Amino acid sequence: MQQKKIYIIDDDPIYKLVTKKLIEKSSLFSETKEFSNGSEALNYFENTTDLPDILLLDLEMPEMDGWEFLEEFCSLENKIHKYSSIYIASSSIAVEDKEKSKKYKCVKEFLSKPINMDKLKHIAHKD
Amino acid sequence: MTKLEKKITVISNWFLSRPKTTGVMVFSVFFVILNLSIFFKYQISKENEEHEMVNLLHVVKKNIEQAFKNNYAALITLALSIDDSGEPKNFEKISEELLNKYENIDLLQLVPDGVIKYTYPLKGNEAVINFNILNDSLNREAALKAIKSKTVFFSGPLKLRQGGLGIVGRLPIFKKGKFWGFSAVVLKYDNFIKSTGIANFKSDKYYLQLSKVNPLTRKTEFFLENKSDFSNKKFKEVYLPEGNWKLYVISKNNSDLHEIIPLIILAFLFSLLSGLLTNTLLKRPAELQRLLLAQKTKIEESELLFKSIFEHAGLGIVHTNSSNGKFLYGNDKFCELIGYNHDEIKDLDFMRLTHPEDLPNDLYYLEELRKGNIAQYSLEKRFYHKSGKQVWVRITISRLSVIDQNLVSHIAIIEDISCRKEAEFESLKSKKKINDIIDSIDGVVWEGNLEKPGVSFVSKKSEIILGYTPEEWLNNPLLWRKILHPEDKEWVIAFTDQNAKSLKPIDFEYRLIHKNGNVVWVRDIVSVYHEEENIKKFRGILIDITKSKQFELDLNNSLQLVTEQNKRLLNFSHIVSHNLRSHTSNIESLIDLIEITEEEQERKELMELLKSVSKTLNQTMDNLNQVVSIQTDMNTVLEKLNLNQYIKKTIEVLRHKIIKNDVSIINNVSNETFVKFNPAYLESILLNFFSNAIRYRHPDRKPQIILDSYIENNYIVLEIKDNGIGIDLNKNGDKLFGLYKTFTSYKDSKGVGLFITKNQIDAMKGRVEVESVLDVGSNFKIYFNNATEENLHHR
Repeated sequence: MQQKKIYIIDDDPIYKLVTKKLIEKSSLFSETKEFSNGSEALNYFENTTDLPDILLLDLEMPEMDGWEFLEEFCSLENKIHKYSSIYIASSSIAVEDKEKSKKYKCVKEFLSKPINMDKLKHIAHKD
Repeated sequence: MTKLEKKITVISNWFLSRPKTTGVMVFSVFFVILNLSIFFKYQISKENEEHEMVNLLHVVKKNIEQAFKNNYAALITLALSIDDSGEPKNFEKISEELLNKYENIDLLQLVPDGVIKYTYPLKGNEAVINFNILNDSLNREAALKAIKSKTVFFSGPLKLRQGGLGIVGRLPIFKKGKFWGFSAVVLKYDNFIKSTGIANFKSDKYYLQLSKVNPLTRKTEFFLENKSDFSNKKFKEVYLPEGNWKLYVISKNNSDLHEIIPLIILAFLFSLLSGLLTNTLLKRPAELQRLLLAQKTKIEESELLFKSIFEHAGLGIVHTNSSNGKFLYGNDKFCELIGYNHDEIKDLDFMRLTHPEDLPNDLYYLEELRKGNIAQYSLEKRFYHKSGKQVWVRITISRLSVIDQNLVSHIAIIEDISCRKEAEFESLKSKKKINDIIDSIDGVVWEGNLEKPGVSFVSKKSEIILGYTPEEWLNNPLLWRKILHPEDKEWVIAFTDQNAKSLKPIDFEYRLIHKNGNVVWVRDIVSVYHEEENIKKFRGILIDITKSKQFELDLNNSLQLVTEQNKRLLNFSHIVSHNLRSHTSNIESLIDLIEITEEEQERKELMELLKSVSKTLNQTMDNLNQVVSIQTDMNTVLEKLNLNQYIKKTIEVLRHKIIKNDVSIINNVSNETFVKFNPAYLESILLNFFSNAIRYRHPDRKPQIILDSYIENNYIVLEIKDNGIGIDLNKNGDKLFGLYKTFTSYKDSKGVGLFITKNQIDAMKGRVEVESVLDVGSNFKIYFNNATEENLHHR
């Protein structure tokens, strides 16, 4: 099975570091990239059209939060005809957020932090 | 009237009423009587006339006979002159004597054997000598007749041979019994007529005529004047045998009937005139008679009508003596009304029957009536029925003075109004009851209409609720507008006007100012009534809801507070869950990693990370603590603070940063601006806004902060305007004051400052607003609450 690319968008540096380490240790994915907020990631995708197979997206971020990013990203996907499986990884346990996420087609699943090895395996197998 | 008189009256009335018939009858009677009298008179005059005529005839006849007698004497004298030998002796002498003696004899002759031999005077009469009369056709018959009768015979008048008309008298002479001849006298006709008096006869009434049958022609010949035919006239005749003559007396008038025709006509005209006159004269009385009769009938009819009206009227009518108040006569209805019969009421007076309370009024008006000051009056009063019960009546009294000069009386028309009175009392009672009920309603009941401002009714409660009496309401149509709370005035008037026009019932709440100046919250429930067509009435009830409004406002405030707190709490719980969870999940992840990491160096690194996470967690806990302290500490101390003093203090604290970033600060806030606030909060707030203005300065221009303050309603507003990077409010407006909401990539944005600031302002019952344009700058407005406690009730 060919390993997939997984990118992380989150403003929490500790989370990013820990998650990255965990992904590396899991050896389930081929490549990892991280972004501090939505706009940073979107800029990258627009410029490179390098869309990963899987995106781990946080919701609470400065400048451009997860929801704004979703809006922009979905239209970008349609534009460049490349698609990613988005997994929302939020510390929020609010039901509203979970419900809201279902409205976005590109969102595969709503996951609660922390992302652990089991969740990574789940993502890798599901996708 | 006797029977006869009556009959006469009837008959005369009969005639009087028939002028035409009477006229005709008068005419007929007159005509008959006049004609009869004419007839009798005519008879008498006719007899008189005949008598007269006969007399006249006799006179004339006598005259003629006298004339003849004279001639006769002459003839005999002449005859005696003949001697026995048959020779006349002294003829001429005798003739001369005779002629002298008898004037009317013109000529004397002796005619022996019918031949004229002797004539005296001869002169002028020579022609007749030797004329044989017996041979003459004209004389022969008369001559023979004379011979035969042996009497004198006169012939003529005839034409004489010697000329002229004459009458010839011939006496046959016998000598010795033998016819000798004739002695003859010739009378000139004119002379003869004269001698008989015929010529001189003159009369208006009659004329004479003499006739004789012509012996030759056998025709009757007339000799006197006026020979016209008189057979149709009245005449008398007498026969004169001497000359075979007829003497006539003829009435000059053609007929006697002609005489009376004018009289009859006259009588007819007179009768006709009388008839017409009678007709004309009777016509007027007849007309009057007819009118009189018609009038009489009318009067009788109206009398009957009035009597029946009086008797059977639905109203009581009574005729009363004004002097003593005694009833003279009352109709059935009146008797029924007071319960006495017709006889009983004659002993009663109205004073006895009238309720004592009503009597003075009645008597006063009656006196006025008696004096003639008024002609009529009406009043409502109580009568006592025979049974003792009261009868309410409406009585109309009119003076009645014409019937008897000595009696001043009046006529009263009485209507039983007991039922109406009872209904009135009932209505009054129920009205009072309704009013009592209305007044007992714990609200102001009012009524008004669309046309006029103001109210037409206000219940008494208005005095208690609003301090104004119903009179004050009714006297001032604009009172309601006047006492409307100034803040409500505009919208309440607009709202009521709009609904009044569309006739919509409304139920709304507003404030009025009590007469004592207090604010009264009222609920006004207004309904629309269509009392009559086109008349729309509004009725409303104004309920004092000040207390409940106070409760409501307090409740609303509490609710708002609770809601706000709830919201904050929820927000807080989200913050807590999110922030704490993000840290705990990091810790969890790190611990997981540490567990699976075998390399010591890496484990150390992870442990360091774990430490930093725990530090951040601590920091977060501190922040949250701070927030909680603001939100829970509701009874923070308020002080009157000089705003400018605190601004200056803040600038001093930030001096280093201001100088470093070359920030210009323009402070327009006056030294007299004071706010009621917690000092620590004010410091914190100002520091936060100033720091933000410097932190989010625009990289391309010199930072500038302008401070202004002013009063807006119950707030003192402080404006902090900068020319920094600005905020996209459309995108980030809702996040601006949220906890841990950051929307810049600035390293030191934590999303805490504005959250705490807002919480502090809210806790002081103020508010914060922001205007901002991206890349131009931001303007934060801090509203410091300046209102007194009682003015916190706002809609």
